[in-house]
Amino acid sequence: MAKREFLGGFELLVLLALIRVGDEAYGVPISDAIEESSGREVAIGSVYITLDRLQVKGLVSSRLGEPTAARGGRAKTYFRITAAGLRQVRQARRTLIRLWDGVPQFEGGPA
Amino acid sequence: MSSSTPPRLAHWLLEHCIAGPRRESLVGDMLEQYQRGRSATWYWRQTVSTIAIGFTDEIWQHKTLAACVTLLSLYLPDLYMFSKLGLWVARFDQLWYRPLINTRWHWVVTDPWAYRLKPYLWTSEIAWCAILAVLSWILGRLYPRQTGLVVTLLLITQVGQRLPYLRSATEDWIRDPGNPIWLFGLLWFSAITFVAIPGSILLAGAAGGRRGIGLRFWRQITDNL
Repeated sequence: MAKREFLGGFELLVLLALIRVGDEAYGVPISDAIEESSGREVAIGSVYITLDRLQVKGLVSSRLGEPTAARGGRAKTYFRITAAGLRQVRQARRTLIRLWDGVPQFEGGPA
Repeated sequence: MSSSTPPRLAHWLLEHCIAGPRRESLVGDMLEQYQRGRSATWYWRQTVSTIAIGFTDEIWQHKTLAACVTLLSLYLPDLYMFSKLGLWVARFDQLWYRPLINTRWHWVVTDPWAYRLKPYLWTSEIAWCAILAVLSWILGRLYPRQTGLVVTLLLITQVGQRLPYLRSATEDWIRDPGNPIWLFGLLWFSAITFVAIPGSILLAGAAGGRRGIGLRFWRQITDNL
């Protein structure tokens, strides 16, 4: 059987946030999207480290934007999910649904 | 409601303690969030967590290097003790320490009060700081991209090893707080632990890392370990 790396929990969250935000995805909207859906504060540092790791795996691509005065002359780094990244998210979804199905604790509404 | 400029110290730490190509974008994101009304506490929390996460990730990415630097730093006192260097420092001490008895400064050696300040240890402390500075400079030069990691590990292990001495100096002072000799001892150990040692490591490491060209051959060997 071919060795396949599973996506980590936070990696999946970042990829889903990236898909939601779309083309204008950079650190701020990505962490905002995760914070809004999870209700927990996210360290921007951990978002960047995860994005770097995903880029090394070929699941995310990045490009540098123009520097702006509002950011103290610092440029944004825009991220985009790759085709391989989308495949991994779909695979993770299928795996989670299969595992979820038929678990007695989750049937019949919230516990 | 927050002001338009973030906490200065936190911002400085963020700019100087984060490595990697994404640093500019990350700092820009933090500033943007702050301008949008995040609090100074939020900025501090994000700074501390970002530095801590970055450091642990750096250790994880360079496990072998981190382990080697930690072990080298932990066993450096033993290497020093068993090398000729310690002997040379001791000989140098005898050069100034023994002749002192025949001068008007003889009380430094003969007076029991002054003797407890252990002036003969001063030379070895200076020599020790010099050794740490040289080691930090060499590591900075060999690993210019990981200077922050190697210097921080060196700093943590060296300061950590001094803490038992500091503890015993504190206990001596608490036992007899009226005697200024213990207070002096405590201040002396504190200055060595928190100023002289970190200063030597950080300054030399920064100088080595900045000038570092890295020895490609050496890095190829150690990266493949």
